Amino acid sequence: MTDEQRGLTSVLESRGLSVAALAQRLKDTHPWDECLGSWHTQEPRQAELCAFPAGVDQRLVELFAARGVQQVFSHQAEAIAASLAGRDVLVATPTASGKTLCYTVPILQSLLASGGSSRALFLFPTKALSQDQSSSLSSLVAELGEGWHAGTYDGDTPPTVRRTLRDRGHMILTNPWMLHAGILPNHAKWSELFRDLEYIVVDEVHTLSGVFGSSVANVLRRLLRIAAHYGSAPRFIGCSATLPEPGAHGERLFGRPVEVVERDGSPAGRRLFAIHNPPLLDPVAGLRANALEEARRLAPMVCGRERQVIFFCNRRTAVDVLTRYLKQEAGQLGLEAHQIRGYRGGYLPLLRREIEGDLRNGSAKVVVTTNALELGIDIGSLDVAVLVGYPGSQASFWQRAGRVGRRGCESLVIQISRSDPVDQFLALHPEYLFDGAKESVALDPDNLVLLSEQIKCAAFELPFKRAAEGGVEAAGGFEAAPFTAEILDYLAEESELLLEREGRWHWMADAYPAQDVTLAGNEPDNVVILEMDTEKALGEIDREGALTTCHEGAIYLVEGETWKIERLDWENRRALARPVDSDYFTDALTDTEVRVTRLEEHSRRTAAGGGEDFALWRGEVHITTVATQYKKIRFYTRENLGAEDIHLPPEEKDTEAFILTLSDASALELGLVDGDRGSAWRGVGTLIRRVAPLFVRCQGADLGLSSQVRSPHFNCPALYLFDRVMGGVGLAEILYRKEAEVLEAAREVVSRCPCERGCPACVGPPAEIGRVGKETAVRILEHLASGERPRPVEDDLARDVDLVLEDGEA
Amino acid sequence: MTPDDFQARLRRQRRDPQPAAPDAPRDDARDRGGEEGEGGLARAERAVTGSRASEPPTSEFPVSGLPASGAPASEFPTAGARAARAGSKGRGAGLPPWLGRRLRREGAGRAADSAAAGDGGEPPSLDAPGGLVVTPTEHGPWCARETVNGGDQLHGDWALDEVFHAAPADAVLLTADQGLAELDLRHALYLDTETTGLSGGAGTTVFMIGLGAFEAGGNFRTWQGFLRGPEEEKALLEEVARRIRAKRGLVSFFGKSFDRHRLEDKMRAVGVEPPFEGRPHLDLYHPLRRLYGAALPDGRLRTMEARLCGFERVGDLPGSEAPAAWLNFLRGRAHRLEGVFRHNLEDVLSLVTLAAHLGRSRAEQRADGRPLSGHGAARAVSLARALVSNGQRAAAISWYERARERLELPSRTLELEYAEALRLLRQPRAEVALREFCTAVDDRLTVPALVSLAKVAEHWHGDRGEAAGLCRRALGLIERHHSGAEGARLTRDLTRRLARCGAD
Repeated sequence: MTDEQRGLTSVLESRGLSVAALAQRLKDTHPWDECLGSWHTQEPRQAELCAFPAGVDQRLVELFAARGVQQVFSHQAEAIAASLAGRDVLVATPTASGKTLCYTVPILQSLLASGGSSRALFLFPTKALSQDQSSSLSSLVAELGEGWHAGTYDGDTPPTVRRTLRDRGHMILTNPWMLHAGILPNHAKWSELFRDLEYIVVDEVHTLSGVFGSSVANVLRRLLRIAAHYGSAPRFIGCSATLPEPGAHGERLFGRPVEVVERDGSPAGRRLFAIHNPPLLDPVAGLRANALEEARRLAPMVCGRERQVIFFCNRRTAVDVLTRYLKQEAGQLGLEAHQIRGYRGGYLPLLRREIEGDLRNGSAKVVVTTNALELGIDIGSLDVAVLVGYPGSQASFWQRAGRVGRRGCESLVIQISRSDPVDQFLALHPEYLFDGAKESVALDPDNLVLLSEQIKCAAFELPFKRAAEGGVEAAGGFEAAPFTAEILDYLAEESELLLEREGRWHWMADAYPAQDVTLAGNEPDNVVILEMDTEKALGEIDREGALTTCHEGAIYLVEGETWKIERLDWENRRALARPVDSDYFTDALTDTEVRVTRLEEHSRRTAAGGGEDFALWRGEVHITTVATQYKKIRFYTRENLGAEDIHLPPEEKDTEAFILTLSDASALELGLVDGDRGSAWRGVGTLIRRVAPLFVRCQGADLGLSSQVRSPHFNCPALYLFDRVMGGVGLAEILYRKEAEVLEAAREVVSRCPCERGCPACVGPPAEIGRVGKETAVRILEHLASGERPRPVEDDLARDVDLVLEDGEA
Repeated sequence: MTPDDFQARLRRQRRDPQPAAPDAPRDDARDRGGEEGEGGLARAERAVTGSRASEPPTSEFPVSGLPASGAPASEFPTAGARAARAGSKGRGAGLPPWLGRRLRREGAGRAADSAAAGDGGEPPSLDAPGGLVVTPTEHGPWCARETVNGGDQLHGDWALDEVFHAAPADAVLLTADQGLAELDLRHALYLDTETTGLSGGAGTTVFMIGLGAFEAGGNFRTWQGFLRGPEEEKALLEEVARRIRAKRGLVSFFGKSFDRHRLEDKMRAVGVEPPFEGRPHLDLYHPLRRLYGAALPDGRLRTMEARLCGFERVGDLPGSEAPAAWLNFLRGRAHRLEGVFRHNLEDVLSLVTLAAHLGRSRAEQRADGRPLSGHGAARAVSLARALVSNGQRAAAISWYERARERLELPSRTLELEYAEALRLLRQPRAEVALREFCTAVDDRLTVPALVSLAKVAEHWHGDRGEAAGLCRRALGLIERHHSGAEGARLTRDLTRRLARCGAD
């Protein structure tokens, strides 16, 4: 029997197997027996059930009993009891553990107790989630027989509904952007809500990290300040995926201590995990089989009529390419093409609702998605999850894994490793994934830039009061932030945006600051993709993504169908597409230029001979990114069919960078010499950037890299790792603090890599880094990672770099 | 970056969008938020999805330079000069130096930027305005200035007291607001405000509220409440609410969509009960737009007062510069404030003469017999249409006839409307008119005219054969002139009618 025949037999035999038996078959069948390793089992967990906490209104107990909920899980009871006792609560339990109930019960209870006068505000990170929740809350209210209103307030809400919600909405479901730019600046119109605001629900708290999360923390300060102005003191109920130190995160976000509920009382079947490391295709180059291809090959083994399988990809394009593959090969999966669905953020709401419904009722057997299905959209529990590549963070990994596991059944999670160093690191160190949460969530509400922007918005809404003892009077938490009074003084005296009279800072300017202040995150400045002739919307995409996926000539995919972008109307944020039968997809290349504008920290290691060895810096940089050209890549073979230019305006931003510079003497000593040195040096940067997400909670794509063999600023080799978010999230700062660990991890990956002269899993293939590239990179990293750490240098960094440059030119 | 990209970026960033259409009142931004809108956000959304304005955003970058009077530069410090001082003095010095730099980079000194902008008008006064009277109350003082104008005083070429001859029914007709029947223009309050911005939102301050009213002796007294600083807001707004309550109705220009909401928002924010609910409010913008819209280049107050009441402003401080004038006053630079008082007063007086004009629209002449200015044909068309939609077809006929006489070129639309009005009044000349209409030209109005003729044939004469013939003729024309949903609807209706008529 040939390999192929054996494969086919095992595929047929694997149909109809239980998940446990399927796992066993994978372990026994070539080639899966070789590549699937690091098996890990999570033992089943019994439900811990208890009665509704004392004090829950009998009408609610009956309402839920009628829906089949006679008892609640222990964590739900814990959360409800804490909330009813007046505490702020953060529920940090896995996906599908029933977090909704944790806030629904206290809110309905407060409505019952107040005779319908209390109000609640819900913040969801996506429109889809708020619409999902608003319909389920409405149906609960209807069953209670009360005339309370629950409604979504977002950019799509029609004006008449807006008015009803403002005046009579008991439960307002919205998103942070709407709260920031629409509700808070117009609080007088919302006085009914703020007067009786009893609860603030913040869902998917773990997504509130970085610049976005830090801005939202300040928006919450503004919210508390307005509520206090109208005489209410709302409580928080937060929901989150499992997090390390949830209490600390909750306290930073809400500005006060929270009671953490994290012991999950919901039941779970046995869950099996496996890490799949695709075979080495070229041991010399260290090149492994493409992960997406591997997913395609694995699909016939794991998919079938009896099971629901979810594939998670990290890129939107990958979703559509894999969906297309699987639909075309539906027969081999024992399925019809329509049972295989693609799902991602840019799809239109109606299509998404349809797919969610098909997953819940079981008619869809396979779904290929991005992180769009990571959040709490209700799609029921599935059986097998295939992660095509590590999602970039532990939280995401567990959210994705949480999509599978029916009560009392076994489930399987397979992560396919890419040639990427992080994936390869995890293939070597699976314990990193399973030994508890490690990645802390970056959140800094007191980041002075974000703080001062948010103080502008807050001052527009209500005057700040100077406290007799200095600083400002209680103001939703702003009083506790450093420099609040100084920022207000500055805005009054230098910017002339505020006016201080009788100890109050009043907004006095012809401007609407919330409009100019961004929250970052996936702000709705989207490009809409339209069918050229009918102007029917096909989907939408964020502005940055549009640069590389909606340029003219790009192939845009929706559920595997190919469309060609004929025209990109950048100003009006419209891309016009025509259906085409394309045998290729496109991949855009971008070019990035970095200029140092300001340096803030500097440390240096002295060489044995006394001169400088290498130095680390932290500072501000100006980045110019331009999409230059795109490649046409044939489906399946991945053959490059040629490249064409892209003509789009550059994206420019100011942000923060972690910079590593190597002295000329050390460069020479380490063999970073003419010829290949540029590529070897870049290889070092690539590797550092790829391992950095293990230490900084971010996606690899959140960090940008630029390498210069002779930096015009430092006049020596320099590597810049910069924050891709405008203004910076503080990633550069974390890298600066954790340089030793980051460099050591990079060294370990490259030293352990079995390739001879470089591969995509470490510094890059020889074609990119040159003949002695790996050797050189290893030497540099060993040098950087070992030995004494650089010492802080007290030099005059406060000088404006532009002035320094002018001096230099003079 | 191309100039177009640059413009696009500016448009996305700017605070005050240019009017999207040239017919906006004062500044189109006022109605962007709509009746209940949240201006800033509405604009934010529009910036993403909406159509683009054609004008360059000049308002974003005021022309720098000295005041037109040529006053010494040192008295009008520029943003740059202050920025240069920023590092060395001021309380902001407590900040980490890099943050100060960053904040400065992000657009400081906005208010002051326009301080130095020349307005091209008369030389500014260097003194704070005189004649302000301060009244103490339990919530602190409020401050106002009062101006009395004789009732016979001309404002443009209208005397203020000509409003006594205005017919309230004309306002009712053109606004379709029955509540205005109770509005007595002799006892109404004429309201106009100045605010720090057009976006609305809690931080938009109403700093001047002009309230004009006739006194028993026939004089017109304008009270201009003035905010000397944010601390006087509550006392001032209380006084404004009291004065509005003391009168039976309000007259404003775009006030139902703007001034009222700014005042209500601020009143709610400081705890003053808003006085507007249930009070007749004549917003002159909408009826005057309806009356003359097509014949006016835009819907601004300045345009209307000039064309309809002969009032031309001299040395006016444009309303758009009022916020900067007040913001500068707060910071010790009062030189342009007098211009704001005057601008606001002239706005209030124009409300009186425009209301007088509106109330003479059906009379078409002033009380003394002089003809009414304004485009006669546009007025006749609008009155005819308003009467039709008010169910007064018989009255509309004479206005249609006047309109036909006054139009320089015949209008097919108007002809058809006229014929339809006649038909619905069962006037035999309707049939003649419709027949002429259908034979003259073949265009997109022919199909509806044929439908009307078919109705005449069927219902007046019981001639189904004739009606069926007309329907067939109309069906034959649909494809040429009507597409999409409209074409489908016409086809459906005609087919149904044909089935009924062509049955025998």
